[in-house]
Amino acid sequence: MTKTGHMTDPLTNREIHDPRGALGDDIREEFPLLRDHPDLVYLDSAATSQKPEAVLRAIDRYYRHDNANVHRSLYDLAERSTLAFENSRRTVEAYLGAASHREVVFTRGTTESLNLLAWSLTELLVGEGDIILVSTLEHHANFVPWQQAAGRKGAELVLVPALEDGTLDMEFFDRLEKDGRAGRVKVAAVAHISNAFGTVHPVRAISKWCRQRGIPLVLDAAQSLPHLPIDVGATGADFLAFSGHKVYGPMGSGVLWGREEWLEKMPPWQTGGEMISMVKPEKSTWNELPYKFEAGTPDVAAAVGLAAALDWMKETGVERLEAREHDLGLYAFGKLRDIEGLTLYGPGDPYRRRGVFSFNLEGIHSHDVAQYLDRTGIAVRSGHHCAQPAMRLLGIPSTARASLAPYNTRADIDRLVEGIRGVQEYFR
Amino acid sequence: MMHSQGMGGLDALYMEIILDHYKSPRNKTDLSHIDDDQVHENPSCGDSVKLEITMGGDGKIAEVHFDGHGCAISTASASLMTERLPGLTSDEANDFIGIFLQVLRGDLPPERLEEWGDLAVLGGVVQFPMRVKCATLAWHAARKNLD
Repeated sequence: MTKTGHMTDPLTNREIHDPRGALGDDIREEFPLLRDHPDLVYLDSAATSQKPEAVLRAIDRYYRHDNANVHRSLYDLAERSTLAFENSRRTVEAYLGAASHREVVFTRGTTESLNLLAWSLTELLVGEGDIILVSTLEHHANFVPWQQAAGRKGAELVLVPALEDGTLDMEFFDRLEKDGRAGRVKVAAVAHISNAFGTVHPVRAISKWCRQRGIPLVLDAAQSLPHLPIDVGATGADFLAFSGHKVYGPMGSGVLWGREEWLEKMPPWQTGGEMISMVKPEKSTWNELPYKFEAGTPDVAAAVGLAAALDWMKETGVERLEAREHDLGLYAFGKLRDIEGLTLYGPGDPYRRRGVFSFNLEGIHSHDVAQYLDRTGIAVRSGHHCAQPAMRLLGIPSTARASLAPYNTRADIDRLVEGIRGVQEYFR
Repeated sequence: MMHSQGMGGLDALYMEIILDHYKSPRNKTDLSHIDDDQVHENPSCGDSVKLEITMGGDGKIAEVHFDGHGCAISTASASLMTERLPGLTSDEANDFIGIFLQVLRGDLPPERLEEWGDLAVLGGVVQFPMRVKCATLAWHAARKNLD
């Protein structure tokens, strides 16, 4: 990609005017692990991203200069720590376009955010005979907690089916309406982007359907927040969950965003210190939002690191990151599709997918593909990608998966293609 | 551009015998008549194996067949196992499986497999901790089957 002040976002055809121009391959240099391992081709960013220098420095600085417990003590150091934590919350609030900091709950990650919701929201809304709606294409984190909640409540877990190309069967919503089941749906949860196939789901259409029926919609943004600019208001969802470690932040950081009117009504999930207002032997009352949902000492450094990651994305330019990655995605899509004996899963239209390429090689197991590629310095995932219902749909036990981030280069993809040819030769 | 361990590391895993058993597995047949709840799965990768162990009139294992989806290591391991178990009593087979699993866990030295012919190549999998589950899948299934 040439460095000019103007570029076109290949996904939206939108002109991006950035005086810094398009991002070049030198973005890789901002990631110490990649800088120090120049031969590594890291293609597993859907599992976790690498971390830029800015994030490592923010975490280091917090522990060296600001470390104390938060919201408890009045000495200067504790105040600095509390400020660091709450400023991180403000950064998330601004990044997501949330209405207030009260809507931003720090968690350990997407899984914890979704477990919180699957418990608390169903306590509030779901009873016997009601329906919890999820899709066949969910990561287990947005599937099993709802399945368990349905079991506890005597409710029914209904799955939006998927089509063979890894997209959702949107006509199912009409069928729900026609057979009268729509009225029993009390909560819906769906991924923004499928971690197994990279499909971008039509979130606006789903949220519109939910909105018309007063059904709260939970959006699993674990795979989308790293790749798309997101404004929570524009999604039309009521809740959104994501993990810091997939957006260039540290492990163990995560966020649950929810509309205040819902969070106010919901009972706390975990109880203990910090989340209470008054504790008496017979009864306790809860702290205000968002602290009602943050029991115990939080991982302050993780929140600080996550905020640093979002700041890094903003400073680098979210749209520039998006454009670079999508350009790489189109390049990879074309290259992979040209390989004989390779089955690429997911939508055949590259504009309906992002950064995730699940594939199998004819007659060769994905484990053997990944093992061979590893020996040539290429890191890809193999397995079911925590999406067994989706794998079952395609009738395959596993796939190899290469996933992209903007720090990847076209040379990385060329190495992957060369590696795949090597695999085919070796196991022929 | 090769990783520092190069292809030598890879060949230590995919030995000739393993590739041979992967490409032409022995005693692999359609076992769809066996219930799906008898499938033994590796939840971390989605690999699955079904076993049928036939006892002979002499109280010894007469035949072992397998079916399923697996990588080179799990397929070769299952194939090698089906060749080795016939002729053993249930107790002998259980002891044998126990020793194999201990070697793969690293609790016994790989040399313990050397007297077992081709099976010894599976001792090399210990060097690849992520693949130990692949190599032991069929053996766990056999142990359950013999119980």
